[in-house]
Order: sequence, then structure tokens, then C-alpha cells
Amino acid sequence: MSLSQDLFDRCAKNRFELLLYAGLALYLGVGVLLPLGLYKWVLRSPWWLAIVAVCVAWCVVLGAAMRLARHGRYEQSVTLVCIGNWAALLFVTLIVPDLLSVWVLGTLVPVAFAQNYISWQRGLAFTAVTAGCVMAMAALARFQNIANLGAHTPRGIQSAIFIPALALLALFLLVIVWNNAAALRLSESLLAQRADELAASRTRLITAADEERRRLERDLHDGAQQHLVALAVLLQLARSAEHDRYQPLLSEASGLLETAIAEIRRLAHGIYPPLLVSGGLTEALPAVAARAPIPVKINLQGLRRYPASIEAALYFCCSEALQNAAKHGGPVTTVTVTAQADDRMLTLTISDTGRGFDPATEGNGLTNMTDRLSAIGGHLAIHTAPGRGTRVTASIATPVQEGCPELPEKRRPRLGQTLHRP
Amino acid sequence: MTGDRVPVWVVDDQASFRLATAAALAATEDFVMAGECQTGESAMELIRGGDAGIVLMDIHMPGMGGIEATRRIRAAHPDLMVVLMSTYDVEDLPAGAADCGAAAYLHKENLSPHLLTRLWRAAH
Repeated sequence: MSLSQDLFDRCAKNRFELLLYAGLALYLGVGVLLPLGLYKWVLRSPWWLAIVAVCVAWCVVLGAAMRLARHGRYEQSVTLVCIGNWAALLFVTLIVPDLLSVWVLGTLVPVAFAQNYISWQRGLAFTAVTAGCVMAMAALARFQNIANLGAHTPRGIQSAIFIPALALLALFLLVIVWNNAAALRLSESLLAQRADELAASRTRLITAADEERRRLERDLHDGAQQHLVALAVLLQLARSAEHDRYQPLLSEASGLLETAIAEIRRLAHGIYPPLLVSGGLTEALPAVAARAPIPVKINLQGLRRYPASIEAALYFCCSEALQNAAKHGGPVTTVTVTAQADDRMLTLTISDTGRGFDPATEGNGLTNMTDRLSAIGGHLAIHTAPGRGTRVTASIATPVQEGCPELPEKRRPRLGQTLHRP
Repeated sequence: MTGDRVPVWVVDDQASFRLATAAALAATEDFVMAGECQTGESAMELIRGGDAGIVLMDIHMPGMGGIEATRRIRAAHPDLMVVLMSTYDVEDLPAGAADCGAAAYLHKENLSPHLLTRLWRAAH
């Protein structure tokens, strides 16, 4: 999942920079070089220089927007571009009203481009402002003509500028629309991929839960129940036995009863460790470490109480990793369990000095732990190789408040949303 | 070999139930423990026919299981009476429990000398 999210972020970032550069090139060409040329060779009007000044200012704004984008502040960057664009185009409309259709297309560009990077409320506001801006430009073009450049510029030159400029802007706008569609398609395919992953992990979780119930049934049936059955037979015998023969029967029965009680206690502990309920990870992790058949060093820092789903996932993750280390690690394996927590993140690392394994042969237990953690918004990383030991790292974002509030709702990033950091 | 006592074999992977069966048989004059085994396979080897007797057969065991073992023992020794046992309700018994040749099905906790006597008399 993180891999595809990465790809998605990179794609949105590249796209943003590419379009800002294209915008910069367009404005340097049409807004700066062209009016300078017209000033030099066609018509010596100071209004051309005014246009150049506005477009240079506009290019500076674009530069600032690029800096913002490079720091990941896409929403601010886009907002700056939109506002600068509205102001610049209102001004050039005032000077060259004859090219209204070119300027109108220019107004639409940043808003069409911005939609992927801003919240929908801001997108709506930008759309409204753009419509207002187009209206104002139309009014300006109709009722104002302060520079009257059109009357003094030859018609041929006017057409030579107007027609390609209109085509160029229309093309630019279409590229942006096409690009938006491409981003949407990418986002859709990533969503579909994520949905497939979720469905697979949900199936695995259900299978694991069913497997667990089967194991419980077997344990109950083959363990405690068999002892209780034998106990019932012995008590029945003792009831009808002669006085001198029921004593040994009773002592056998009491032995069976004790075994059954121990069996049930062991089973109940496996279902949910009582220390985890009463004392949380701080008490339960040292207890599971102490029960392990191999030496375990334990170092817990900053732990507090967490929602039960987090505590249980991390506890069973630790106990699974310890079992694996004891079972496959080899005779001199030692394990270190480290927990580190601050207000937002909890990281639990279980590293052993055992034999390690080929990550491709990861067992069911670790897959289940990965699914379980990812179901509550966490992440499990396994670093291992044959002969190199194993390090299992579980990390999860924790609720900030004290006590045990519910997990914050996990938000699915909208198209481009991950780029926007408020 | 056992006088006029009826030989009883118990086939069960659970030691606690074999112990209870031994105690129950020790409390009667009519039956005698002829042997214990933990799987259907070892029962096939251990149980030799000849005399009529009872085999107390657990249904759920590792290996071939009690139903298949009953079928084979009955085929080899038609004189032996096999009583199937488990802790499950009758509805939860595997298919084949009814037609494998067993004479009766017994909840393990109901095993008693009195019940064995009644089963034996009903068949003979």
C-alpha cells in the first residue's frame, strides 16, 4: 500500500512542477517577449511595457509558487497562482480588450489545474471567483479601451498574434483536462488495487479467526473435557463402591479435577491474557517474556494504556515473534523486546539473534499479525535473512488523549490529498 | 484365558479415560481388562479374536479413527462387540457411525459396570 501511495505522490508532484514550468514558459513568451517585440518593431506604446511589467511580476509570483510546491505546500501554491492569474488577466484585459477570448481561456487554466490539489470548498470558491473574474473582464472589454492599441496595430499582426495565442491556450487547457483525467485513472487503479488487498487480508483474517475457533474446540474437547469425563466415570464408580474401595477412586478423581482446572486456566490465558486486561502492555509484555523458553531482554519506554485493539494486536505480535524465535531460532538465541512510544506513535521491536529465514517463506502467524495490525491502521515490518537473525517491527499511530478513546477514523486520501498538509 | 470373565479392550488416545475404564472394569466380577491401545492401527494388531468380548472404541483418534477401526475389527472378528464412544452428541457424530458395525454408541461419561453388563446381556 505504501509503495502505491508513494508512486501516487510522486506522480502528483511531477505533474504539478511540469505544469508550473509550462505556465512560466507560456507567460514569458506571450506576456514578456511578444510585447517587447511589438514595442520595438511595431508600435512604440508604453502600454506594451505595462503588459511586460505585469507579466514579469506574474512570473515572480509563479517562481514563489514553485518554491511553495517544492516544500510540499501545494494548496498555498495553487492559491497564489490563481490569485496572481486573476489580477494579471484583469489588468491585461484593461489594456488589450481586443484579445478578450485569449484572456478568458487564460483565466480558466489555473482553476482547472488546481482542483486536484485543494479542498472541494476552496475549489468551489475558486470556480465562483473565476466566473466573476470572467464577467468583469467581459465588462471591461466592452466598456473600456484606455490604451486603444488595436486601432494602432496593423490588422495582419493582430491576427498573427491572436490566432496562435488562442490555439496555444486552448491546447494548454486541454492538456490540463487530459492530465486530470490521467490522475483520476491512476487514483482509480490504486483504489482498486487497495480494495483487492483489503479483500484478501479480510479473507485471511476470517480464515485465521475460524482456525483459532477450531483450535479452541480441539483444545477444549481433547483437554479439559476428557478429564472431566473420566472424572464423571470415577465418581459414578465411587458412589456404588464398597467402603474400602472408594478412597483410591476419589484420589484419582481429585487428580483429574486438578489437571482439568490447570488445562482450562492455560486455555483461558491463551484466549486473552488477564494481565493485558488489568495492566496493559507494561505488565503483560514482561510476563510473556518471562514465560518464553529463551532469554528475553525487555526495554519498554513511554508506554501507557491504549485501546484494547492496539494492546491485543501488539501483545499477540510480540508473543508470536517470541514463539517463532524459540521454535526456529536455534539453541543460543536471545531476544530483545523494545517498545518506544510518544504521544502519536507506538513502535514495538522484537529482534532475535537466531537463524533468520528467507522472507519469501514467511509463516501464517506473521501474515496474520501483518493483517491484524493493518486492519487497525498499523504496520508490521519484518527484516530477516538466513543467518542474520530476525527483527519484527510493529508500529501504529496512537490516539493522543489519555485514557482509552476510540481510534481516530482512518481517512482515505482524496486525489492529491496526501500532498496537502494544512 | 480369563476364566468366564468377558475380555474388554479399550481403544482411546486419552490416558485419563483409559484409566477410568480400568477402574470401572476392576470394580466388576463379570469383565476383565484385556488390553489398552491409543490408536485404531495399534488396536488392529493387538486385538486377537477367538473369544467373544467387548471393544470400547473412541471415535476421534489420530490415524484411521474409531469408525474405520470398528469396520475392520468387525470384518476380522465378527464375534467381538464394538461399542463406539465419544463426548459428542449423537447429532454431531461423523457419517459412518451408524453402519460401521458398532453395537452401540455410548457417551463416555455414562460408562459404568452396570451399563456394560446390560449391553452384554442384550447381545447374548
